[in-house]
Amino acid sequence: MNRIVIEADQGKQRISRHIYGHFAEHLGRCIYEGLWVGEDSPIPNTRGIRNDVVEALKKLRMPNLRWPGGCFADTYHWMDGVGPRAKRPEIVNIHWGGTTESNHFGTHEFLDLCAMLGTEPYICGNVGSGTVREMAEWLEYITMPGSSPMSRLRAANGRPEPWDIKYWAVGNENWGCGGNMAPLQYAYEYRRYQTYCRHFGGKKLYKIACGFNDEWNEILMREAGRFMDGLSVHYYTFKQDWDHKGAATGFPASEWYSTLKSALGLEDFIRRAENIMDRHDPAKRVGMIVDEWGTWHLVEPGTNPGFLYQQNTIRDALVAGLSFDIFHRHADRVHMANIAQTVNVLQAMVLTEGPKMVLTPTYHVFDMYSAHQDATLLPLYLEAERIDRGELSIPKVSASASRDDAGKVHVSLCNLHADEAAEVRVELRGAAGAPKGARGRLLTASTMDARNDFAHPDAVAPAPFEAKAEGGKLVASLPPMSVAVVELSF
Amino acid sequence: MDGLPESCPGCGISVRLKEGELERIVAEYFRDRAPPDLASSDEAERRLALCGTCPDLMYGSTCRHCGCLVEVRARLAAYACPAPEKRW
Repeated sequence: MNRIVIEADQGKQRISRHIYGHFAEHLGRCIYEGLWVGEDSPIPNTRGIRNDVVEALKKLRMPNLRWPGGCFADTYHWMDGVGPRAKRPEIVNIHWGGTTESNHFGTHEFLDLCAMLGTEPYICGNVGSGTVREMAEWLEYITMPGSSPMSRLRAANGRPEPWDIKYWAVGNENWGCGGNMAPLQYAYEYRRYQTYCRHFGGKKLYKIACGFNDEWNEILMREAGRFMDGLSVHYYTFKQDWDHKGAATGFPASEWYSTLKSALGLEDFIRRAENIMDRHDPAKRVGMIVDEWGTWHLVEPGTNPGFLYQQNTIRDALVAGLSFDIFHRHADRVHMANIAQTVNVLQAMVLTEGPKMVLTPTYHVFDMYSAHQDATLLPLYLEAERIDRGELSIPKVSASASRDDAGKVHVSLCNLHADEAAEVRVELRGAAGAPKGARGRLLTASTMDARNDFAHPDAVAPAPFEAKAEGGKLVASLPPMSVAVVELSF
Repeated sequence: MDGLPESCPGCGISVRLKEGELERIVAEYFRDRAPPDLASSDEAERRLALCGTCPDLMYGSTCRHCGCLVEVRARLAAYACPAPEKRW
């Protein structure tokens, strides 16, 4: 028996909608073919951006989109990506396999995409191979309302009025591909760069510094914490570890569980970074920005290994669901998270093949969980059965709950077991009284690697789901391998 | 970054296949596959010839529209050219 108690009339902390953020990098077929096909493409597009993908992503209520990287950010020179496309230099993307980069998708195209999606742009500036001036001028180009060299250049490139932007990162993984810096070196570089990062329209930028391991985060928070609004950290889920990735499909049960255990490790990872941030920022002003997370499997067999194209199964859906439950629990510190990546790379929302597109199981979890965006986190106590397999032991159920501004209570539930159903009894405490029932949607499958492909685009799709009231409590019967989000009725 | 190598996750990844890598991937892919999964030799050669002159062939190995190695995709009977204007 799995038991949940929810304090339905308590809760102070909002779950930032930005936890449901996205990430699109110049890598594989994420930007090119996945989002950008060009104005001359026979694939239906608006100003070069494919219509089918935009329509699908709009339904997710995407709060933000991180761009241009990732590793690519610290080799990206924004001036290469503005002006007439025919004159933009073709470069080599050194961080992602030597890909040819046309620069056809640049600042104007990215901000046009964000406007189409109704999402906030989150740009990562170049520290590793850039300059303070280059980064400052990029912000001037985007945000300067009056006349200046960069605003005149922007107008000459077809955009007289400025754009708005709030989220800005000063480098990516500067401990590695972003310059191989030492922690103190980066802390001082961050202080210098951020001094010249400003919104020329007078608004406040939310400045994000690059975090890493405990030692790095400690030094960075100590030396530069007061100059930042956010600290970026990355967490990936593997079958085992970086050197032992597993197949996205056709995996044994042992890898179902080891992958979910790896995903559950996100909570300890957040706690470790949280402890350091709490020491230097007890008021929790600085947000943790988990701006890369998700599963990293072996590439789909028969595809280019440098494109990081992987299939996406009901296992990935479980990883997404339990990761969101973890982010919710740490909503007082986690201000933003960005799935890696939105299209065709790693744990994607949609996969494309020429003019075709499929929604992945992960897409459906983002859609179902969007009920929690900007809602108030409700205290939730979970007593879950354990799944014990040799040395591996993980909880059978993951859950979180929130109350939105209209007073609706949503509960998300995941059954991590591959073979057994999970009965969950949900008790509500507080003024709302006993629930009469709960309705919502359930995502499940009959095999561990069930997925949507171009021949079977709807093999894994949400279905209506109901939890019945019984003796003042809700009873939810979750099939094996399932994710449910329900709204309670009183 | 947790679990990532302490250098660059992109390092060591290349879209240009090393010598023998394509042959290894193709051999692995087809190790357990047999007719009727496979296109006939003539049909595979016809497709590969079209891929070879396609402007959307990248790095001499990869289709822009699906990311597949064409040496794999062209040999699968049930598959079609993924381009919006199909060549095979």
